[in-house]
Amino acid sequence: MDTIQINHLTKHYRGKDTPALNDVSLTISAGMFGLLGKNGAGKSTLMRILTTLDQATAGSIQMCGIPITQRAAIRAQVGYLPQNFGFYPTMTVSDALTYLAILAHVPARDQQRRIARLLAQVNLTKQARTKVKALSGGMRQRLGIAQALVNQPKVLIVDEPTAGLDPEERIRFRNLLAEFAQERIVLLSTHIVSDIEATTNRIGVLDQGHLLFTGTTAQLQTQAAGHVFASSLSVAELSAFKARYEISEQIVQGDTAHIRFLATAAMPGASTVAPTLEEAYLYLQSRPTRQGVRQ
Amino acid sequence: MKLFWLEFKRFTTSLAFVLYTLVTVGFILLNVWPMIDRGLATAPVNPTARYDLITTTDFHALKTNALDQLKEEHADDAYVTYPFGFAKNVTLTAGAQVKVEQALNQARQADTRRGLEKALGPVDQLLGGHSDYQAANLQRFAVRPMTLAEARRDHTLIMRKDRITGTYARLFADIASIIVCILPTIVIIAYCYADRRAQIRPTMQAKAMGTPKWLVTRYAASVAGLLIPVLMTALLLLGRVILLYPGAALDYWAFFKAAGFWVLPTLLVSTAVGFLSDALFSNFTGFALQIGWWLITMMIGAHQVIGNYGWLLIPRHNSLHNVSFFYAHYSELAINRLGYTLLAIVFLGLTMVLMNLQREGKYRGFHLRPARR
Repeated sequence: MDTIQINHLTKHYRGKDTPALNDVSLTISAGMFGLLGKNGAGKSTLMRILTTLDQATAGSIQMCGIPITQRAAIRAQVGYLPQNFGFYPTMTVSDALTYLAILAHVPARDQQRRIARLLAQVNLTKQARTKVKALSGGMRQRLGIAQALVNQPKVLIVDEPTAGLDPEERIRFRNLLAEFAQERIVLLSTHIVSDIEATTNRIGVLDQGHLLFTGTTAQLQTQAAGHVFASSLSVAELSAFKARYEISEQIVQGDTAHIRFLATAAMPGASTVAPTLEEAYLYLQSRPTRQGVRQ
Repeated sequence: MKLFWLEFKRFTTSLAFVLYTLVTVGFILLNVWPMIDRGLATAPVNPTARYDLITTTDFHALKTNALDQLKEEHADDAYVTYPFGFAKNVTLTAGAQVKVEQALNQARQADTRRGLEKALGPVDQLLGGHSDYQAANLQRFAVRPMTLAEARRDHTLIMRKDRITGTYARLFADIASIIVCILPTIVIIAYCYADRRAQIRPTMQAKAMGTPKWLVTRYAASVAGLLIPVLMTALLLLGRVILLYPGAALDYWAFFKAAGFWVLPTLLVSTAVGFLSDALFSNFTGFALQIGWWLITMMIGAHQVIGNYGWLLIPRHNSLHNVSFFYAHYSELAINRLGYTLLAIVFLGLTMVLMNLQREGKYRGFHLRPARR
């Protein structure tokens, strides 16, 4: 049963008034699942709990039928690429993977074959003898994903993997993830909407420890339908407008600004447009507080 | 085994290890190399010669040595104390000098160790403490030169039981223990700190391998690496002894036996302290604690450097003689070494517990913070 079942998960850190995770319930089945949220939303806390590196204050998790409390069994079937992945700079790529393969209990007879295959998959075969410090940011992340897959996990957890990558490497990395998601659960945590847009249509949105949404990207966009508008106004009016509405896009041409913005109701002079995923995400997040969506 | 070699390779190619090797080899060679000459093979024959010092249980020898030194220091008004192991010159006021003279006269009357301690206690107080006249430090006066007969017995032991190399190996172990008691701790803390600097901990902690196997492999690889300069110097010193004593019946393993039996337990402890400190504090705090332990050990050991084992983390035998003391106290030394080996295992066990707690997010390191005003 390849699913992750999270039930009423809560995490309180000592000395903090608000919980990092607040009664989160979620079911994730095979394939890619995107976990979207701002920095500090609780994504990394959830990732750390799922990888047994932290403990929930309340609630339970079953991962492929195994309770999260059975740490050894969970670790055996999880691959983890943490945020800010790094490795000993003077070790070679090959040695780094061998080192982590041993820690992941990969049988000695399989190690070299598996490492060679992974290096080929992430296009690092030529860098096998290169020291980690000589790798580019993108290469390092690809090494990160290779090490996360070294134990052939049923669940792959990647935390903010594309932060800091250039567009080309970001696309390459997203394609790799999509490829690996064909035969396992891949949980991708990110605050970059385009990463989700390009890789999956199943998402959850976390904000301040609460799970605001879970479903498909289309469902999220449907929720925002009728709340995203396009209009043009003079540049002089822009500041006052920004104070009242959440602007999702603005293109200034001469004295005129062409904008897309969020609002709760139709407005004279503005045309309703189909929301992008980013706008739907903004709508979801700003719904309780912003004036633009309260009108 | 492969993990061992990867750890060993990483450890022995680190800058901290290179510096450790240079300092350790330098320290041991500078202290031991000049002491190795052809002299040990020569049997003592001169009844009027002043032979090397040996430890004695004779109270009168202790008293004479103590009072001779105090008399001299009093005459010159130039005393030495050893706060935290560092020598400090002390001069006294005229009034205090009079009191020392009174104490000296009283000490002359003492006919027991306790009486002597009582008489010299005020002198130590006048000097601000940490002097040789402190009751606990009086033992360092319990030495006397060997008689010719004793020197001959000593020579026989050197030639037959130590087989020359054993004598030099004791001095080597004494010196090597001083350095391996302190440096490995900082090398290990730096080694562990590399995990944090490389941001590798979450990746490793999420892997399947159990903490005991991982830590023991790391510990074994570190200890193997840390022994390299010790064994290198052992080899160099053995080579020098072989060259100086051609044809002599040497014990070719003596230096290595001393490294394993005498130096290794100290190294096991200081290495384990490094790992424990990293797990406990997640910073370099543990090195300060180890410096404290080292200083205390050195101070206690300094009371009697030519043969002093007890429960010292650095058992002292800074002498090429006093051989009968070594054989008479061999079991004491063996118990000491076994005890510290067990202590290292206990430290390693504590480290495992802390690392497991860290791996489960239950412990994030104990941080010392300055008190709030």
